[in-house]
Amino acid sequence: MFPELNSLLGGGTVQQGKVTLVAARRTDGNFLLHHFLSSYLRAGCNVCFLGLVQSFSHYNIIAQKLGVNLVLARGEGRLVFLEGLRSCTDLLFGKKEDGDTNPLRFLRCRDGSDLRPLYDFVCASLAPPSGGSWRCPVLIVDDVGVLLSLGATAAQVLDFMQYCRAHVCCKHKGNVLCLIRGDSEDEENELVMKSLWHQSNLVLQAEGLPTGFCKDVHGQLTITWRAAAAGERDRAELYQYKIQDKSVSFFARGLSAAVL
Amino acid sequence: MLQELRTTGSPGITIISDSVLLPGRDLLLSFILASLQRGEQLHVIAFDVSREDFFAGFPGEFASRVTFHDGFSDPLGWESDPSAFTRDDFTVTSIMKRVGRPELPVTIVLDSLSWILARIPLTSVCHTLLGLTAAPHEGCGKLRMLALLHGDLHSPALLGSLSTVVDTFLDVRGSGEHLHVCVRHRRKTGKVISSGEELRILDTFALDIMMHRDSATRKENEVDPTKDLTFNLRLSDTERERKESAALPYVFSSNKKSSLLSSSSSSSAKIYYDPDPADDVDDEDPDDDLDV
Repeated sequence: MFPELNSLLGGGTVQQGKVTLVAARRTDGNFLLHHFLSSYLRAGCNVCFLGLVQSFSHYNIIAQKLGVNLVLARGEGRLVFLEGLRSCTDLLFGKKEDGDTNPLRFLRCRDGSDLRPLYDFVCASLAPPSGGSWRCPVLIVDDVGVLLSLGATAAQVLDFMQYCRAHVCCKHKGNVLCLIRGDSEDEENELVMKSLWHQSNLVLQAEGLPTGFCKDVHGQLTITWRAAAAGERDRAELYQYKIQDKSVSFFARGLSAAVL
Repeated sequence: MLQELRTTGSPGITIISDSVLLPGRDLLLSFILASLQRGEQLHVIAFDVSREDFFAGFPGEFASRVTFHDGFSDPLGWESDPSAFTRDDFTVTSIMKRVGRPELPVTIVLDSLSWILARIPLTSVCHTLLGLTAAPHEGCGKLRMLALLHGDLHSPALLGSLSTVVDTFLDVRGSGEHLHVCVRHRRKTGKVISSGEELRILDTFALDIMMHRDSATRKENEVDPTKDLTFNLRLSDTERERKESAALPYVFSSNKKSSLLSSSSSSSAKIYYDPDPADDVDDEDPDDDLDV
């Protein structure tokens, strides 16, 4: 968890029924994802993490740097982690019977099958416990664009995200956070990104510097708070950042400590 | 024109096209409230937003007069919710079944049309829209339709096709503090009027038009290219008469021919030949000097 980012976002990470979009263009926006993952777990939320890009150990190593133990959280039932890389290989090279329960089994169908099994997995992961204390459910997806690469269409991905919003945000008043990497040459990816932007309450857009690589400024972050109710207007703020070993420092444009 | 369309209610289909950076939801709400103030019955079919999100910030006194059809929670029937409005329900029959036979005029709001266009072919969508609005329905007369469209999610070709089908197309472009809306409205007679209006939406969701520029005004402002010419492009009647009566010098008219003939007959012509004294003319060999 990065305290500076927390203060820029106005304090609490957990807000009821909100959708956050992390869009990364020409840079790596993973530090934002790790920030939110550790924040949600520290706040005691039940997290379902669809990790389609990296292995569990990758996320765990970084989370440990930020003071959160994912193995422990998973053991306590506060974190359900879908390791997309392993699920894919199990599905494609494992036994056929095992694949019938795999959340990514749409990969086997070539008839444009929808992402309903994945949605069912999310619902089952975030189902309220029968006797235990109920905490805010959170769904994190890293990254939505990978579903397109796996063969799903833009409409199927958006349907999946809409059902997740309806289930997690509206029904259980939880949070949905998804990361998507921008690629202006991929039309479907752009379509999904813009559609999700329309549906989000908070958009964090991380970009590489337009002037090129810099040792002391790693990129710029645009935070957009979208209008929450009729009559309000969107509000956006722009910061530059530098990623350090265990923290990230944010500053106004052109005000890097290395420059001043 | 936007104010007039809002107050009197645009007939047929009205589309508000917005983008990620320039949301048009407030303009949609402004039109919705104007419709409710006219005493119309309102049916909202929402795919993009949940019931809570749609009514957030909505004036309380009007909320009870809106019939909300939930197309957000279960649009594909995964949850088997019988009250949900699904993708397959987007037909004239199904919508008219939900609208029923009301006594008041009805406006149907689609939030948003982009969701439908991403899942149903354009031709089917246009058929349904025109089927709902073109002809009066038994028991409830003609319907009005108001739809929000996220223009940045569609190709220019699709937007162009759609704008020719609908009666009013409002494109939210905006700049700075105020919204800039391009209005394209087709009248009953078929005449298309376009205008650009700069406005802001007040807290009461009324429109405050800051600047209005329609196509007629633009014509007035345009510079006349024939204004400073050194020659005249048009002729007055007297000038035209004079022009037509003038005989051109190189045209061989019958008058000219007769005048020439008469002058040749009256005077006799004569050729005078004055030989050069140096000439040595040999009558027997006229070609002597050619040195052949």
